[in-house]
Amino acid sequence: MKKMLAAALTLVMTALLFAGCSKKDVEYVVLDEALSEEQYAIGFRKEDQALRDEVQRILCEMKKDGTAAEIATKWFGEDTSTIPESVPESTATDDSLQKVKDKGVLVMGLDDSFPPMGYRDQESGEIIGYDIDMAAEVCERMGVELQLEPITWAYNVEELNQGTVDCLWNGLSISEERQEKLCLSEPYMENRQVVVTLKDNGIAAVADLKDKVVVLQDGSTAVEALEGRQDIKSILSGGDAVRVPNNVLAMYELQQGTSDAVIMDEIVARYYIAHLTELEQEAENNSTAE
Amino acid sequence: MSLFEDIAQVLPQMMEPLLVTVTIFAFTLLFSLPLGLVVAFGRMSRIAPVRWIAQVYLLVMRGTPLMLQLIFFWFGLKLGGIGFSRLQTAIVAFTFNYAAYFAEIYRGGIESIPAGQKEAANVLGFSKSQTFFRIVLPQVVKKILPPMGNEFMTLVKDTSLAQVIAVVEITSIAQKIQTGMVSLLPIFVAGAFYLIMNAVVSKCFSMAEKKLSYYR
Repeated sequence: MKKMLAAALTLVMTALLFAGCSKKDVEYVVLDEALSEEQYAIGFRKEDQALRDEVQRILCEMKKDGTAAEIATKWFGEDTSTIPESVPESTATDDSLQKVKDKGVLVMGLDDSFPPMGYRDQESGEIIGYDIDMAAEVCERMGVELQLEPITWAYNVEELNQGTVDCLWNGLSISEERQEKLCLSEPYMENRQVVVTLKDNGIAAVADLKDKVVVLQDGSTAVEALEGRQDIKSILSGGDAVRVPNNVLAMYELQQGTSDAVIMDEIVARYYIAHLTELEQEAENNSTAE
Repeated sequence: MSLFEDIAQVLPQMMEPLLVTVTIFAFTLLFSLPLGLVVAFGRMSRIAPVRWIAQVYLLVMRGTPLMLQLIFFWFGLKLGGIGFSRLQTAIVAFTFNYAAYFAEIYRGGIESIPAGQKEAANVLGFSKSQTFFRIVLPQVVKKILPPMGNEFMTLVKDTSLAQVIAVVEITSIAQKIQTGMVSLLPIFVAGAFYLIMNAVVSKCFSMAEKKLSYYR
């Protein structure tokens, strides 16, 4: 019983510590200049051309009838999707589409920690997001059920080839390697790797990162983006960015002042900033109410 | 107080993953405790090839990261392709890994029993299996309790490794919630769960030790 009490106390104390820290007043800014640009697509097995073509055909249909714009506006405030209105008629002869229709389920592999593309709702714990809404609509028009299968994103191609999922649909960036290994849809959205910093940090342009401590999520596209910009990498404090396991920790580093800037996906950055600013305002309202 | 509201919001979502963590823990023990005994006998066998196989098994299982073994069972052996779920694959990998550690603990316990006792039992007309189950094993159980307690507690925490093959246990759900919530709170709640579980494990072991402390 004593141990339980000690455990509960430790929890409360650490939680208070963090709650206390987050009260600091901060204003986030995203630099206009991006480190790199990329496009998102849906990934299918190399041989599953028929399935890919059918999903693409439905996406174009959704673009034309305005459903795609509606879903994008719900998540991003405007239609940011880049889905083409039409694609050439499918000439695929493989049975991948028939297989999915026969089993009546499309299994969508995703990383359920990538807001706002696909993530867990804070209140319900359900997986929600832009990609989820799009996939749900596609599946409905295809007459199959959508099954969400959270996977370890680092092993996405292995999961696909093992057959545990039918497609990878969660902000999958197009790269040469993926074009070679997968059958990709047309690009449906653009993303940039941007620098997020605090207004008071005195960083107005990428060149101001000289001798600054920059953090980023290990294994993310931001790592590749920085590798591609040796001119920026070399001026950073220590000659490289500090890598942390996830973007939430990166944002904490920024907020606590242990680092000066974060490099991350613009789409995720905008979500985080909106979310954190909202929290701060809430906290402010609470304190004035008291 | 919004902190308590946040915790209250996080807790219900963590219940199902908590069950997953407990399931991995319980089933791993259920399978690896007996398997470990088999491996321990293999390691102490008088037949050389059996001993070698056991030695290679122990070296591989203890000499490579558990995380790698999980990936091997899921992607290497493609257990998913033959109908194993992620959770079942994780239990298989944990079982093989922990059986190796348990085997060495058993062996240490068994070999610590003086040979004189076996000789005495033999003289008194005990059969081999009677000697083992009635004389050796009860003493072994007493001796191996402290190292076993270590392994049990490590297992509670190691269950978090199952997330490499996308098993949704408490550490992984905490990390997932934290990305949506943009807060580190969920991971501390997960930490509290581990602490509570290990407090229970630790309590059980100290009770067992007390109960078995006869002849002292």
